[in-house]
Amino acid sequence: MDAAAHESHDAHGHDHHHDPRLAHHFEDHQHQFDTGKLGIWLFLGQELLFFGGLFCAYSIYRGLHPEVFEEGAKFLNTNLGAVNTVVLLFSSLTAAWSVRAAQLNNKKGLILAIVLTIGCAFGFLGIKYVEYSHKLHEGVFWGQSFHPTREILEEAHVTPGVVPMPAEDGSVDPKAEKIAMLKPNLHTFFSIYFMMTGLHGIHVIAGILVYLWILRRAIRGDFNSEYYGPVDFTALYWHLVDLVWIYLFPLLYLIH
Amino acid sequence: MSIPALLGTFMGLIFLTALTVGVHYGVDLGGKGNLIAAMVIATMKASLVLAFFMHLVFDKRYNFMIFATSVLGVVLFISIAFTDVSQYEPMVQQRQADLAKAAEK
Repeated sequence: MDAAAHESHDAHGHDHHHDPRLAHHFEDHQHQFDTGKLGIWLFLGQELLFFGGLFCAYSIYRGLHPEVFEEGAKFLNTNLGAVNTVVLLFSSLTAAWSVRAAQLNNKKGLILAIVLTIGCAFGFLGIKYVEYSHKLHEGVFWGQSFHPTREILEEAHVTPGVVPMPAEDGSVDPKAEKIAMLKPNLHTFFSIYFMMTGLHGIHVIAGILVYLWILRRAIRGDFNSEYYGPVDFTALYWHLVDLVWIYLFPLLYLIH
Repeated sequence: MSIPALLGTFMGLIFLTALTVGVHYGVDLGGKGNLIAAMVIATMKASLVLAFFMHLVFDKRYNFMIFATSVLGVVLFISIAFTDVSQYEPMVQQRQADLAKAAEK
């Protein structure tokens, strides 16, 4: 193409024998693909810096008050966290598979891989919903709203000790049975937990929306071995969401 | 990417996930030791994802450099914040001790 293709443009700058999926300002599909890829990597670099702020807050709080994190992690369900890790890793596999299918002109495989990726994303959010609703139902909120109920304190096996347990109705009698002592500022752990997993969850939702759009285009037959940039770029974004979770899981759930 | 490469990467990731959970439950390396072990395993997982699922080993070097620059930015950000905290933390502790002493009197 190149020079010859440019010369074939008419007075309006349109090339009537031109692939409509190739934007006019690119020389060829490779040029368009490389440019798109550069763009998505710049975006991913920015995403990393964006999450970096939260990881910085996490590191400083944990460095200063490791005991708060040790106790806070007891409230989290490690099994659900591990299952969610596997779900997200599997969705990364299917996302990578979708790129392969597009490169091989395998439309059915592409659609299947995208549907599996979206399915896993919903599975991840479903498990997250179970975790969140259990915590919020038991009074495990962020900041000043942190008033854990008796049930969840017993479930979390927090250190037996000095502070009176709240009664069934939430009131606190100083003479009540003293079985649990909460570390001061334990709520900070949950502020960080909800902020980090919440922001990650928003990224999962965004990923689902983009993948629904990619699915629509895949069914329409937009993609082939020459033009599959959007499939590749969405997969790259999806892998970054996976990457963040790879660190969140041990940092929040696996605290010794 | 070939099917064996895709599946191999995935199996490696699952193995490392099982390993990190196993270390958490089964091995006590002390608070710091377990944290370091978990971070080393997480970084191995992240490298697998970046290298193969995100094609960085086959890709133009330029894309890798963009990402590496971002990682460097985050590392600098966190370390500079830590220097600041370690600089001021003794003053905060001293001030709290002084206040506690004043309250006793």
